[in-house]
Amino acid sequence: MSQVTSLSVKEWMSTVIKEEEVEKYLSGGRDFIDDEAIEALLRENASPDPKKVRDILAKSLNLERLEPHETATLLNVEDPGLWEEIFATAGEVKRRVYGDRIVTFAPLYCSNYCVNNCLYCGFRRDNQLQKRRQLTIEEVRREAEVLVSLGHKRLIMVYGEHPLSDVDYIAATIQTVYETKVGNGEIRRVNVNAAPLDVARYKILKEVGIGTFQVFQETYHHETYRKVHPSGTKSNYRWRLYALHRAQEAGIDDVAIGALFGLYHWKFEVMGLLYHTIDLEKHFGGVGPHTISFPRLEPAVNTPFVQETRYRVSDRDFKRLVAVIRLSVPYTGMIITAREPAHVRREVIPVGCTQTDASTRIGIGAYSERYSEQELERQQFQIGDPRSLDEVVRELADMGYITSFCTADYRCGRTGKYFMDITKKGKIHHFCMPNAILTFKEYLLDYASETTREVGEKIIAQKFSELDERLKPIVREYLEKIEHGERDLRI
Amino acid sequence: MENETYASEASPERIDEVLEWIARELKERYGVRVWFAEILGKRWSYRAGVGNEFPTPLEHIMITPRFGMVVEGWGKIPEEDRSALLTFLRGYLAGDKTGAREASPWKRES
Repeated sequence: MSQVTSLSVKEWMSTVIKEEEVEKYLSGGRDFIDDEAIEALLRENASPDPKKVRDILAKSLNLERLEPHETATLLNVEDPGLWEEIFATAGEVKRRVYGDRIVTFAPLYCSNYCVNNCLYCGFRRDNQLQKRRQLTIEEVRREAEVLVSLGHKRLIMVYGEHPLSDVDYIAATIQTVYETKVGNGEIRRVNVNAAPLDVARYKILKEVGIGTFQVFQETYHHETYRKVHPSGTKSNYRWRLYALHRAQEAGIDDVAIGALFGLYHWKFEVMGLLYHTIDLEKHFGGVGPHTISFPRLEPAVNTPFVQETRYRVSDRDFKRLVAVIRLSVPYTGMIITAREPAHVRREVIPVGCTQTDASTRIGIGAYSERYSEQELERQQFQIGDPRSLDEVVRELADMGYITSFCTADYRCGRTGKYFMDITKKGKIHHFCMPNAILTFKEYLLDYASETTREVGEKIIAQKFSELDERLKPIVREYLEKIEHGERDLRI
Repeated sequence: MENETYASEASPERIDEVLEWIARELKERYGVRVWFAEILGKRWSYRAGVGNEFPTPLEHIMITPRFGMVVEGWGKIPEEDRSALLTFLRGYLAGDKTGAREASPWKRES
């Protein structure tokens, strides 16, 4: 912090928000979240008729995005038996679009300096118990080496909002990760979770070849947003709401949305995610979010808000909200993270999740410094599932899922509109399952324990047998090549 | 129409329009699918073209350091036309639109 004074921080903050880049998306001066309309839809669709619910499920099975009144209907189901039908349908939708595979990644936290003061966040500016740190480029390289050595191919890099971690720092750290190689391994796709940028800064980031740019609105409820974000650039609701519109405008065509569940009522937040999807699709030729995330509030050091909120989401409601998101936007990826304990992940993955993290450490420098216990004063929150990648991969295999380390789409030009078009038609699994098999084979040979390799080979054999006959010859050929030492084969 | 295509400033939208047209022509004339991508580090980011919905062997061809194309069935195009197409694309995407027009394998008909 020695080179950045509080004055220069204020000056920097004054350059972040460009109101004209928000106003162009407003309709009659209003943003796309109408709190009263959402509350009304939830009221009007209470106690839904089972037939109406089943008609909506049929629409989802047809891979059509739901309309807000339909999502509100699902959210209001009370009958446990009907919920079981909803869970089963959500699982079937997931299988139809993505197959039985889970994409795996690891988070890499680079800096916890932050100009914002979010009441629920351990990184907030006024949290004196948080140990501030920013990784140097060399430290980023060491972190990446550890992650590559574990077998990861895909990261999400996370940054606090601060002039120290501005867009140039973000770009430099991503570049460093891409350049890092250990043996056969390398990171092939870096996704980014950072503060909203203006169009010009997004263009800088686009140049380094990021995967997905992720911004969570946290809460879509205007009044709650205002209360929990009392100061800093993040206190501007609309700057954040249109963050991914600007990213798309800058040419970043894979964007990811999310809400932090526990700030306001979970049903409202699900509706917010749907409206966000609809507005992105409306403005960008049908290209909505690449993924949707739904983290729940977790304890953080010196952050009493987390204990005090009255909107904490129970495990039961968490599973329900995941299923309803799956059904509302059938073709979009869904991420469940290590915030959730293992038993919750086991319960919820089958109702629609497509991605998860593993071997997760969220302290700054936590991978290369190898601290095994969580150190809350270096973390944004407390994670619920610190298991190794090998353990998670093995468990997924036991559950019948193949772990995918695939990054082929974004290296073959299957991004943005192209990706969304084939995903909406339910055809993406033709690409994803073969590539999942190939990358999983690489993982088993290069990184897995003996036990995991044994379970993994069985899953590969099973998934191979289920492939379209036309794909089997090429996949068989590539599997043999991988056995003989070739890597990064993809279709 | 030809002037409109090649003599205008190469804005991103214009480039995409031209690439889209080329992709359609390749599909119609040779049954070849091609899509164009902007190369951003490891990322090949979709810009235009006719994607496939089922995996087949593909060729990645770097046109310029900034642009690439992914082709399904490249060998179906006669060698002479492939060469002319690449010359055209390299010129067009590098901003050399005059030379590109001369090298274009097709004349766009209005």
